[in-house]
Amino acid sequence: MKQVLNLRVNGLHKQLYVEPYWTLDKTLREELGLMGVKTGCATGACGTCTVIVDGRAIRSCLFPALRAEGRDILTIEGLQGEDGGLHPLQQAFIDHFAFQCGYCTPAMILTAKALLDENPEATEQEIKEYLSGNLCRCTGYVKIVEAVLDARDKMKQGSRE
Amino acid sequence: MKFEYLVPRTVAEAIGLLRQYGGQAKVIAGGTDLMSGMRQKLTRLRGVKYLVDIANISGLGSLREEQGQLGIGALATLRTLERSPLMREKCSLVAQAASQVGSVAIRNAATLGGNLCQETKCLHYAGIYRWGPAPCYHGGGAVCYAVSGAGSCQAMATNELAPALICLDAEARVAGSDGERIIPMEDFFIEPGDTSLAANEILTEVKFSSPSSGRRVAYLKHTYMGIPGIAVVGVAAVLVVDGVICQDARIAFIGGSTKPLRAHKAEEVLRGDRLSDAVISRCGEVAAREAHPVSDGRASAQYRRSMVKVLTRRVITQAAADRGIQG
Amino acid sequence: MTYSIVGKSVPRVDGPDKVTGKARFATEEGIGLPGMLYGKVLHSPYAHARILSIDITRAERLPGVVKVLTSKDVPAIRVGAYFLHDRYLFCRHTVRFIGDPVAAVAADTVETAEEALDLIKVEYEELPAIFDPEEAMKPDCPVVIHPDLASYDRPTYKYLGEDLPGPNVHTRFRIRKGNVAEGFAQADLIVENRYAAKRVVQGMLEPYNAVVSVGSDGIITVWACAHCMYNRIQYIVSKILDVPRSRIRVRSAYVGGNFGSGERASRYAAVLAMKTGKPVKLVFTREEVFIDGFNRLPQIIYIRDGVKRDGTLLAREVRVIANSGAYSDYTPLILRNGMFCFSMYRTPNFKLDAYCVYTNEPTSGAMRGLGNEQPINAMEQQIDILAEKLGLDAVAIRQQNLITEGEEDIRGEITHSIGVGECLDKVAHWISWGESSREPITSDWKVGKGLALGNKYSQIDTAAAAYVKVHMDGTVELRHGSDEVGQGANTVLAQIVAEQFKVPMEKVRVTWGDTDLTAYDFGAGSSGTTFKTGNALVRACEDAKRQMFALAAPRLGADPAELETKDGKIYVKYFPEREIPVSDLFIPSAPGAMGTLMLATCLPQGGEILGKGTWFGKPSTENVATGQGKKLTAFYGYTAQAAEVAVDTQTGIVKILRFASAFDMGQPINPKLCEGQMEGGMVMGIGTALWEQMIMDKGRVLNPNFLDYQMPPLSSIPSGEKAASFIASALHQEGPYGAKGVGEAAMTAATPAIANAVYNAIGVRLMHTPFNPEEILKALQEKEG
Repeated sequence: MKQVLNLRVNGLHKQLYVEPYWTLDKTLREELGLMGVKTGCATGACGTCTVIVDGRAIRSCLFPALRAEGRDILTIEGLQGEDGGLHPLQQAFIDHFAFQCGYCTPAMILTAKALLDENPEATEQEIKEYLSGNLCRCTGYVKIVEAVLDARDKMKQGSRE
Repeated sequence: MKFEYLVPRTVAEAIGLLRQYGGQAKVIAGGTDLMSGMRQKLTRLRGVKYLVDIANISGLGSLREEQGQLGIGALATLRTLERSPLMREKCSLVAQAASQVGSVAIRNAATLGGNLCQETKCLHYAGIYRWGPAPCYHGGGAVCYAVSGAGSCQAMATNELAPALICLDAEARVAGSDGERIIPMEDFFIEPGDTSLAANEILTEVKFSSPSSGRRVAYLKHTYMGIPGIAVVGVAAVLVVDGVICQDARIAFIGGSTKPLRAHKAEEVLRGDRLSDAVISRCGEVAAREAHPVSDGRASAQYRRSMVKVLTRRVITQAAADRGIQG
Repeated sequence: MTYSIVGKSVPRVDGPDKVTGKARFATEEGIGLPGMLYGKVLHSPYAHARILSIDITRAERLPGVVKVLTSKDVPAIRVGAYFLHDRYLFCRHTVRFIGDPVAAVAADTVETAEEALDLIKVEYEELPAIFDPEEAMKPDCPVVIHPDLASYDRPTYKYLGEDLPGPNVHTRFRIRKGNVAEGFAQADLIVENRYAAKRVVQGMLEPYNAVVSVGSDGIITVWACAHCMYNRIQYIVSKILDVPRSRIRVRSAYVGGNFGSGERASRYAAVLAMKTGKPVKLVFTREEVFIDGFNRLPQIIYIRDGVKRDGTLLAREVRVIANSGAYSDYTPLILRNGMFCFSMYRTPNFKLDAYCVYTNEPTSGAMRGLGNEQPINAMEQQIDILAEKLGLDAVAIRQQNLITEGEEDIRGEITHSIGVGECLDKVAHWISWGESSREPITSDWKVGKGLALGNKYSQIDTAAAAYVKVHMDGTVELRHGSDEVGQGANTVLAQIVAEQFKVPMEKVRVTWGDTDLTAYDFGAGSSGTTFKTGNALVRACEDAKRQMFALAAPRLGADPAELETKDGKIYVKYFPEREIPVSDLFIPSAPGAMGTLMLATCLPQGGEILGKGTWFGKPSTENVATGQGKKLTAFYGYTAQAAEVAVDTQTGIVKILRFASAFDMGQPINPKLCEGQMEGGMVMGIGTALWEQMIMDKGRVLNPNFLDYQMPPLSSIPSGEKAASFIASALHQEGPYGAKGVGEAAMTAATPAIANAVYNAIGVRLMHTPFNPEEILKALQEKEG
């Protein structure tokens, strides 16, 4: 039987009715139409389902929907500015050709955001280790590293201004 | 998979629910291991109809230090352990072990308790699809698909936080319907591949004494490919060094046996001796002989034994170089 | 030659969609569609068994279940890929591998459909199974997996089914050139070895899935996650449902990676949709993608080389035994085409026999490289072995034996456009070939360098047709039937069209992914989209321009041949001030035009400016006994890769310290996208060389997930200054702007480059991939012990 779930998604309060056995990924995709949350393996290994829950990168495919009660969720759809402007990470991914098929991209960008929020001075090695939970089969990762380094620098600059 | 989702507010309530629903209920902490296992339709998890979410029960996630004892709540996430200043300062061994599990997103949810009580990672067990074949020992059947002719489950242990806690002489605090009991970490794990938790018991905390000065620690793990993943072998070491003599040692490993094992004989090699290359080398060989690995698809028995030897040597060398607690 | 847009790294046209999450994949389709049902497939638990009975009554009665299908509900039609039709939709009497589909369910939720699967009771009688292809290929093999093989339909490449030496051999391919016996007789050195590989998978992150709905007009719409809309989806669904292709509309948006992988979900979603009359969404779990997908065809390669003392290759004899698993799918073509890779070297005497064999293992299919990686691994390790034994340099011996422009190769083709020598020089220079490593290492580790070459032909017996429409405001819309699987096809094709019309990228629109709007295209396979679809588009642009110039000529008082277009204007070549905008062509000229005619966006004559173009391959005949032909390929792309590795002599772990790739793709249309292919190929190559394998146990896949099938994560690969990609272009006279293709060859040289580097580091040569730590340690211990 469906139960009520109250949570904040991309800054907006949502009240949903979910089955107790639903996970957060399915809930976000099918109840809220947030298709940037992907399904790749359903076992937490590929990372394409990653969203930010209360500031932390989380595997939404392993996260029971009802556990999201009262929490703050950020998906890729919530990353743009209110004027629609791209987040520095999104712009950097475009500038550096850091995607190909795009399936891993929303999760990759969100995880990089979680990293830079935690550690704005992250080194190349730290970036590589932090993002190791996000598989990409297309790009070979080289340009993803370039993009995150660039975004890091631009975000540091931006915060100084 | 369909299940009901129950959210008890206290440990007592949680235990009550486990009693009520028996084998159809399972505790969910971080959920990374449980949910993944349920998706894979692992035999033991197929009948789960009730998830008992203990993540919100207050007090189970904290790290505390009092009266010379460090206590880690069972719900402390691996990421918390990895980054906690208390852990890094007082007991980097636990932080080291926690930091090498999975990925950041997994560690953000995965808990100490969940890691210690994890479902076996045997490939042959996971390779029993929803549609067959018949269950193996671990699933309640009467066969082992990894080792033909085996009389019991042969799954190699993979709970990565176990060696560190065994080396720290930790104790597990367990709550059940009859009250609380304390189990020494070494006895918490039973063969094959299980814990001594009864059906209606919940691990609430792990405690160990604050390390003294002179205690040097290291944890190393080896994955199948040398890239982040499930541990094939993991070895932890704690050395108490006085001057150049190793006064005391603890060595424990996973991946070389069906439960996390303390290498008592290997410890003996070090005790009272100087940590020379020859001694460390012999220690590794003895540890390897204490292991009883099997070939399980992820690695051969021979390779596992080799890795116990190599990692033991390396972990002793690394621990010996650990500056640890000063004065 | 420099162009204004071709050859420039313009930003990808799909960038904004993909970084914001707006990009839709097939997994997004159908969600929220009223009445949609969810499909699930039931698979066989046995590698080889007879089906005695199937009882679906309990499953049918489960609330929420709408339909349960088994073989009795569908006609007895066998449909493979398009080479050998050997596969029923649902097994009729026999299951042939663990995972073979037996039934399917459509229900109101995924969870209900899964529950229903558990309620289907199937009784089996187990049969002996066979997993070793060398045993299975024997003429007296007691286990025969396809007793009716001789009666199966082969719509293409029929000759591959002739002279089969055993009941489980379904494909045989031969190459003969010169006389290998004579060649070996003259050789100063002969080296013979056996190479093999485990099964690996494409590993695209989007799992197989499809949504199929049947309209009240009888049109079947298939949203598919796959490539080759026409050949793979439309053709196959048409055969399975026995519905003409004209009634099947295939739609695909973005594809979450493909790497050659076929389709499985569309078949079952289609038949469930037909039978229920409702839209059906069917998503494979990751486990199903491994088990009932298409892994890379494992080949056992026996290779024997004879050389002169000075390093000249005289004779090469190759025997390939490939293990296709229980069905053939794409493997007949993989076996045939994989062998093109040997053309790279001058080989006066060459003999090859290749066999593809059924076993009771999961089915193999197309994966990046289409069967050429493994022969290249063999070839490129062999040449290093020969070099060492002769005391020659590994770079020099390759340069010496590489075929050159204008020479006839082992297949009888005249070589054109081969830049591999320059690729080799570039990576050898970057890796500081000949110098010892400068990477910091500790005592347990040993460092080494290695390099290798690779190549990939592109199929010639294919076709591509495309449209270009010029809109009133000068926007040019291209419509192509290939696929955007991540490689950047839409961007590259848009660049070609932008260059043709001399308009900026913002003035180009791309329409794709709908067989109702586009024309036939082979699809994004064989690294051919830039070349074939690109050529079709160039011709379509020329056709559109012809139409434009014919209309503009009278207005400009010039001959159509004197006109050019740029920035949405048409002008006279030598008098550019005489120009009109494209929009002027649309002005109505009827005297009474004052009503809605003023709003028409159509031309007074001809309606639209819609150009059509076709690229239709012209293969020559092929001597089926010798594999010789004048024109058997469209082109070859070439690569060189070099690796610097460190090996932990205590654990066998290999770390890639530095890696370089160089590629000859002819004219790079978008250099950054080419780099992307090289970098992606580097990592996929590293993964398949070192870490990836399907762990098999008597036909069971033990690691059908990404937890235990380990694809390279970010931390494991070189980046920044430790990774390099170079472009070396040998223009192709038939390619658009001289371009060829990139996608596949980009990973072909990685395995042997790493193998050669590991040998250089520790003196141990591994011939079976993956080169995992255990194998390396064992080999090291054998060497020392």
